This record gives sequence, C-alpha cells and structure tokens, in this order.
Amino acid sequence: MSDILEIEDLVLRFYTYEGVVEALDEVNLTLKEGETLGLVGETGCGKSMTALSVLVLVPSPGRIEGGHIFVEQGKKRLDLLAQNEPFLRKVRGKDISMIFQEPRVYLNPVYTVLNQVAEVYMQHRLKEFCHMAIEEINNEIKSGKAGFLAEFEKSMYRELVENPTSPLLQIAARIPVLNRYKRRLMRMIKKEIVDLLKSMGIADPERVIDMYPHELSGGMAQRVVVGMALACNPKILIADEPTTNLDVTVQLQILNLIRTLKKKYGSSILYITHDMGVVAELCQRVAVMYAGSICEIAGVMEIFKNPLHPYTKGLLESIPQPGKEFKSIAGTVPSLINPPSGCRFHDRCPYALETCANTKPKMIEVKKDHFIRCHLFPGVQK
Amino acid sequence: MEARSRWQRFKVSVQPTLKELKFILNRIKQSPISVIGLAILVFYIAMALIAPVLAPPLPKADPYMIPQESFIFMPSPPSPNHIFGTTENQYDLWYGCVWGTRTAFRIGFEVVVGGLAIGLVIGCVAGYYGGILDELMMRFTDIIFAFPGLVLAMAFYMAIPDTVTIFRWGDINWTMNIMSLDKVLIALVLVSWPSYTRVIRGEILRVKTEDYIEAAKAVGCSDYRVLMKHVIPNSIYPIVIMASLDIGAIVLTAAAMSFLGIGAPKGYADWGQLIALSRNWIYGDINNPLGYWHVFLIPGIFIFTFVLGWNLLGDAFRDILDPTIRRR
Amino acid sequence: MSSLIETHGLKKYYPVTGGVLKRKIAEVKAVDDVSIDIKKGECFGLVGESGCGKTTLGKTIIRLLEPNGGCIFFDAPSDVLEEAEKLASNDPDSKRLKEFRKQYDLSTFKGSKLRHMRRKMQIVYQDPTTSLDPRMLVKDIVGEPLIVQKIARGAEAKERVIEMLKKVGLTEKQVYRFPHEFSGGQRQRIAVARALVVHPQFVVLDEPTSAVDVSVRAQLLNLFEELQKDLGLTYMFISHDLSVVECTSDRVAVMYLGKIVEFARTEELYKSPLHPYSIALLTAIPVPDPTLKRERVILTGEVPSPINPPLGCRFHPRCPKMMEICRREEPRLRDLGNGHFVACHLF
Repeated sequence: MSDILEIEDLVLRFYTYEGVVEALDEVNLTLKEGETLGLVGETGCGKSMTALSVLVLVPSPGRIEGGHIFVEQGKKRLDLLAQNEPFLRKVRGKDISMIFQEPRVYLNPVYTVLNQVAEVYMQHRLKEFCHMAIEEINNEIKSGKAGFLAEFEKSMYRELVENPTSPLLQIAARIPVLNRYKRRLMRMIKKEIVDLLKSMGIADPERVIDMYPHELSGGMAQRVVVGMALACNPKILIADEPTTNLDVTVQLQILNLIRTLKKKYGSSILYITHDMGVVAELCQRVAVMYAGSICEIAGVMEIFKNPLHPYTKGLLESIPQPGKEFKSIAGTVPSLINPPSGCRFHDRCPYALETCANTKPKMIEVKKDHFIRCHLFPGVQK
Repeated sequence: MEARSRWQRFKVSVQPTLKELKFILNRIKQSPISVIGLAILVFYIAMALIAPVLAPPLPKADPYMIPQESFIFMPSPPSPNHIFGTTENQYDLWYGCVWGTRTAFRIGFEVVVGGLAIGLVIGCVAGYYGGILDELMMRFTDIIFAFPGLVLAMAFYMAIPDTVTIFRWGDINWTMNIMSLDKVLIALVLVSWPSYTRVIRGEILRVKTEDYIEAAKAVGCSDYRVLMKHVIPNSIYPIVIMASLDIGAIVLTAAAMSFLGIGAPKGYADWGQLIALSRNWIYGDINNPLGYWHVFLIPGIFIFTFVLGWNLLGDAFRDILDPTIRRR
Repeated sequence: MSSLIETHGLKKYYPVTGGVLKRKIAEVKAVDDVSIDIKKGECFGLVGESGCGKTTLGKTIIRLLEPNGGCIFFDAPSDVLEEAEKLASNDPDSKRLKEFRKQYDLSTFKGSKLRHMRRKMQIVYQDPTTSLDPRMLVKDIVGEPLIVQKIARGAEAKERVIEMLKKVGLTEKQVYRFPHEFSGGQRQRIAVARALVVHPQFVVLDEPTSAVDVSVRAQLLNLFEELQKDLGLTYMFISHDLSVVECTSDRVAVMYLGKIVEFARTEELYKSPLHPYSIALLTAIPVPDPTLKRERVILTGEVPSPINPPLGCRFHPRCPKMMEICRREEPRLRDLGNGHFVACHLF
C-alpha cells in the first residue's frame, strides 16, 4: 500500500501574549492508502492542530514554521505547504475532507442543511452539474418540451463552465427573473443530496433538508457533516473526535456508518480521538501523541498487546477497570510555552534516564512497522 | 503556616489584581490610538488638578465664576493679558477653559454615576427576578426611551423647582437652592439611565444561567449575595465601556443645552456656557467676518478633544475587555 | 445499612408555554415518578443518555430545582421510613405522615431551614470552567460556603480552606490565583474542595470526569474514593460513561426518558443486564481490546423528545423485544430478588 499522506518534520508555533507556544515539534506521520490511522492523545497534545495543518487552516497567531506535508495526487507527490491558497481551496473538501467534534457548532446556524451541503457541490463539482444541465436542456429541445428561455439557460451554463466569476453571471444572479437559470441546477443537486443523506442513514432526508442546524439532534447533525465531507469522494478523510460529544448508542451508529462508508468509498481515514475503546474498534494502525510530538506508531493489535513507550503504557493502564485500583500518570501535561527539555515526557516518566532530560530521542523502527521515539530503545536511526 | 508580615501578606493578596492591571496597560500601550486617548485624558486631568495654579481665582470669589476685568460688550482678541482673549462682557477665556475642565469632569462623572446607579438597580432587579417585575420595568424604560433625549431633558429641567423645602415645621423652614447647572445634571441623569438598564439586564440574563451562579445557590447564598458577589462583577464590563463612551457624550449634550440657554448660570466656568456666550459672535461684524473666531473656536476645541479622548479610551476598553479576544 | 436518601414518586416537570397568552400547552416530564433509595456511605451510580433526566434528578434531590411532586426523605431513621411508606399507601392525608414530612422531607423545607440543610448536601458540576466564578480568587471560591453557612470567617476560614485544598492535592501558594490559571483537572479539584469544605453528608457528582482527560480522570477517581473513606461521604455518581460508573459505584440505576428502567448492584447489572435498553447501552461501550468481538444491539432511531413520551412503555418504539402489552401499559419497577429491580413487561 502506498503512502497517501506523509507529514514530515512538521513544526508549528503560536505567538501569544504569554509567550511562544511550541505546539508541534517535528511531527512525522504517514497515512497509507485505504487504512484507518488512529491519532491518540490528551487535550493539548496537538492532534487537532496536526489535522488543521494538513488542511493548512491553522488559526492565527499560529504559524507553520517547518516541515512538509506530502500528498499523492495522481502520479505526483505535492507538498501542500508550498502551494498557494487557490490551489488549496480546490483540495479542501474534494481530496481531503474534515469532520469536526461538535457538529452543530461547525454548521452555519443561519443556513438550512440543503444550502450547506449544496455549497460543497457548488464549490467542487460545478462543471459536472453544468454539463449535466446542458445535456438535459438539449434533450428537452430535441423532444420539443423546452421552455422559451432554454437557449438563454444553456448559454448561462456554458458561461459558468468556462468563466465562473464573470461579471455577466454576477449581474444575472441578482436580477430576479434572470436568476431562474439556477433552478435547474439546484434541482439536480437537491436530488443528489437526498440520495447522499439516505446513504448516511437519515430516514427522511426530504424533511431534514429544510431544517436548520439547531433543529437537528447531535447524531443527525453529525451525519449531515459526514455527508458533506464525503460528498466529493475524498481520498483522505480527517475525523477530529467526531463522536466525543455524542451519546454512546449514537456513537455506535456513527462508527458503523464510518466503517460502511469507508468500504464503499475506499477512503483513508485519519481518526483523532482520546478514547482507546474507539481506537480498538475502528483503527488498523495507531499513533500516540504527547505534548506536540509522536511517541509511538504501531498496528492496533501490537499497541494493545505490547505497548513499548512509557506514555502509551501509562495511557492504557489508566483506563478504569472494575475491581482494580485506578492508576494514573503522575504529574500534569506541561505547558508548551516552555516545554521540558529533551524528551517532553521525561519529568513524568517512571523509567526516565539521565539522557532523557538533555536530548530529544529520534524516531526509530524497533520492530517491523512499530516505530518509537524513546531513549530506552536505542537502535538504528530511521 | 509560614510567618509573614502584614505587608507581605497584603502584597501577595493584591498580586492577581496587579497582574490584570498590567495586562490592561500593556494592551493599551499596543494600540497607538488608545495611547493618544489616554494621553489626552491625562492632560485634562492634570489641567483640572492644577487649575488654581494655572488660572488663579480672585480672592473671596467663587472660583467657578469667571472674573471680568471690565464690562465692555465686544469680545477682545488674544493678548498677553488674556492668553485666549475674552468673550462677550469681557469674561476671560483662559480662566473659563481651565476651570471649565473641572466642570466638564464633574458633569461627566456625576451624570454617568447617577445614571449607572439607577440603571444598575432597575436592571438588576428586572434581569435577575424576571417575570412580571421584569415586564413592568422594561416597559417603563421603553417609555422613557421613546422621548427624544434632549427634549425630555429640557422638560425635566423646567420641571425641577429652583428651591426645595427639605424640612418645614412651625417656624423652622429649611430650603435648598438648586443651581441651574445642578438642574441640568439631574435632568440628564433622568434621561440617561434607560440605556444602562437595558445593557445590564442583557448581561445579567446571560450570566444568570451560568453554572457558578447555581453553585453559589447550592452553597446557600442569599439572592442578595449572589447578585452582589457573583452576578454583578461578571456583567459589569460592557457597562464600563458604555460609561466611558458616555462621559464624552454627556459633556456634549450638556454643552448643547447650555447653548440653547438652559445650563450653567451666565459667567460660570463651563465650556458650554462659553459657547453660549459666543452665540452672537459666530459671524462677527459686517466689516469683520469671522473676526471673533477665538470666542467659539477655543472652547470648541476643548470640548472636541475632551470627548475624543473619552471615545478613544472607551474604544480601547472595548477591545481590551472583550473576553473572546483576551489572552491572545 | 440505613438509607440516607429515599425518594417516593419524585416528579419534576417543566411547563412548555405557547400561544399569544403564553399558556401552558404541554409539559416536559424530565423526572417522572422516580423512587430510589441511597444508602449511607455508598456510591450510587446513575446512568443514561443525554436528555434522560439524570442531571435533573440529581439537582432535584438536593433542591436546586423545585420538585413538582413526591417526597425526598433525608436521613430519616428506618422505622420512620417504614411507617411513612405504609401510611402513604393506606392513609395519605394522615397527620402523622404530615409530621414526618415536616421533619424529614426535603421537599417541604423552606427559607432558612432549607439553607441550613444545604450544608449537608453539595454538588460537583461537570464543567469546571463554568462552575467556578471567573472573577473570584480560589480562596474566596472555596471559602464562600464557610462564610455563607456561618461556620467560620477570616483567618479561621482561610485555614480551613488551605486544609481542604491540601486534601484535594493543591498547594497553599495557589490560593491567590484565578481559576483560569489552572488546568481542567485542577479546576475540578477546586470544585471538589468547594463542595467538601462544609463537610456535607451527601454529594451529587454530576459527570465530574467527562470534561477532563483520561489520565486526569484516574487521579480524580482516586481522589473521590479517598475522600469518601476519609470523610464518610455518600455519593450519587451521575455519568453517561458506563465504564467509569462500573468502577466506582456500588449500585447502579439506568434511566430513560425520566424513568428508572433498571436498578441493581453493579456486578449484577454489568454481568447480566435484563432490560433491553440496559443491554443496548452496555454493549455499545467501545472496549479497548481489539481482539474482543462483541455481540452488539444497535438501536434504531433517536431518543424521542420528553415532551411527548410514547404511551405505555417509553422504550417500546425502539425495543427489539417489543410485545403488544408494551404499547398500552407502563411497566412498574419490580423487585426480582437480590436487590435487582426492572421495569419491563418481559419480567
């Protein structure tokens, strides 16, 4: 399987009033084609920032200061960080999509579901729909059922295909009678959206389509967001804790949905979560992150059976088990304004060596497909 | 517990407030506009404080009444004797402007504090208790709001009597004279409280639903304590911003009222009064058009910069105290 | 063990107003006829999904919300409780029952009597960021209950505050700080300190570990256990996270749309759940073991709105084992022996 996404030595810093936050410290991650990679870590470790960096949507005062994000597009391997904004806008939503944690917050509250999902289509698949519209008009002309504005509509669609931002279209869009040409387009998009929502498991899409986000329940809203993300068959789907705020039974439904959709569309998923149970359910490989850097990457069976990094071990041990004492990791997550020197986990690590406080360990492959960044495992550098 | 002197304990207890103050000052320093606003106000505060030194009052006279050297009707232009010149009836402009600073601060603070006090009480009760009390108070506020402010202020001014009997019993008759400037202030207070009421009611409605208010009730706090210690300190920020913007606006309104003839008595050291005195001289003589520019321009510049300073500071406060962009 | 709290038919309804004159057109039955008992010194778990009314139940028991019906007996001796139960079914208007209620029933307390009672029952909220006043120093937040309940003032209060903070794992130096200077886990500890500084008997823990990280969660759970042993507390642990409830509680109740559907000792419930909803809930938890393949019950549809709960058994539209009787009649909570109560027509 080839690597469809490769993050190499990513460095991210936030310049705030209180100081410089070293959010990401040389993060290295690869996502293989067709797999689900789980990214696990606690609050503040930088997993959401990693996801936003892939889409180059890091909010200010954050600045990406180093590294590359390689994506396979066709036969080429592009560095997303070196591209300009118009190119990135074509990529976002189409080749790489993201779904967020609180769906009702990330949907625009003043637009109905129809308008929001249609926006995705208008952004990425406009030409396709315009061609379909032109074909439909041609068929109507042939069968003699065309309205008298058919030629005008055809010319507008042709214009949309060639020159989407032409001033003629801008004017026409505002004049009440002339903007009827858009109706055919919306009708086709609406049909497609209804099919999409049905495949997301929403029982009555025609009713849901006209609802506003605050009228939807959490599970329904999350399905709409997943629908929006998968509308254009992206190759990479980034899911940032999509089920954390949902009830347990709804979470089960959404996880099943993601599983079936992955089989259907064949996308690769980067699943961010802090819940090890979900990771065990859904992911094939797992990456564990702490304080801005990746500690361990391994297959899911390997990580649960044989965790090597002390932080991974601590994380797995702190899952509450009935009848046993609660074990926790001593200390608290450090502030990233003045991160600990050397390995960032050394002040909480029960196995810390002297060298851990001075030098940062490098990522090495300790077993086949099991990478670790820890001084306890000196070995051949990757 | 470690042994600590009272001074050390005080220093430690005051530290968090100092940190907040430092943060605010830092943010003010960052924006040049707010620095200008702060500078203007510091200048005026200094001028108000050393007014007796800059423009010494005549002995045995009310310092707020501008001295007149003579009674010539026409204003005289700036000269070494009168740095800003004189207005009608030879009131010294320099004296008027310097002592007028004190009056301006007085007008601004008294009206805003008065309006705030009334607005706070009514807004708190309406917002916190809700229900029919809220409805009644808000409708009453709406009624006051419906009147045009200046007109209503003038109506109140006319309604306030010149003397008020405080106590009358048999032969004893205590009365109090209300000066016309005080009447203006009372009228402005009565007109400006509705806006504070609305803002604070809105903030209280938001704060009321927060968890820590319920937690305070779970601990057993009385309504009064919850209001005083929890609700009000958390909803006060928009009011601070409004108040600082209002101080400037009130001074302008008071000046407008003085110009219309309602206001401080003639000869009182008040910028509005000075502009009122200049009413006849704006166009000057036929052979000397705009010749008496100093009569209205100089007090006008004072008013303009004073209001500008407060507006800039109020804007700066709004940016600094907005909780969503703090800590950035 | 004697009961610390016993509720009989507790109800909490919210009116829904509508129309021009804002008349009541419907009621949200958030808590509908709940009768549970919480024994002294135990940790009572309450689970359910969002909207089932568990937080409302917790807050109603400690009178943060006004109940619309039913009684809450607090710290009544067992013979009083027995007699009260008998009287309630035979002679509800008897004077003796009214006397009992005046003395022990929390729902009848008012004014200063209620305020004095608040000393004995406290609550820890879910989100530590919003449950602490952002404008108050830590020492004032934790010291406020002492001042309000007139237990201590000034230097004595400060001493007790510092003692409590040390117990929850914070230091004396942190007393003069604002809440936003602490991490989520530390803020939750401050909230716990505030709740415990008056030495209450009963503490409602409303999802106390939902808003914090996994590693901090274990620290907090250890803290709760220690404090329970140390101060002899009784907990009501409300959570939607079933794995945490399994580890902390002695007995667990499952709630759905305002009613308790199952109620048993923890091992009993997790080993052999009986009500179909409990089965669905328990099997839906993702297990951190990739080798385990679980038999899952996936429920259809969404949780219905509590304004118009389905007639008969509230769970019947989604129940995989629905029978004809479930549509018409509401099942009552029945004791199946061994302290295991279920409200289902299958039993």
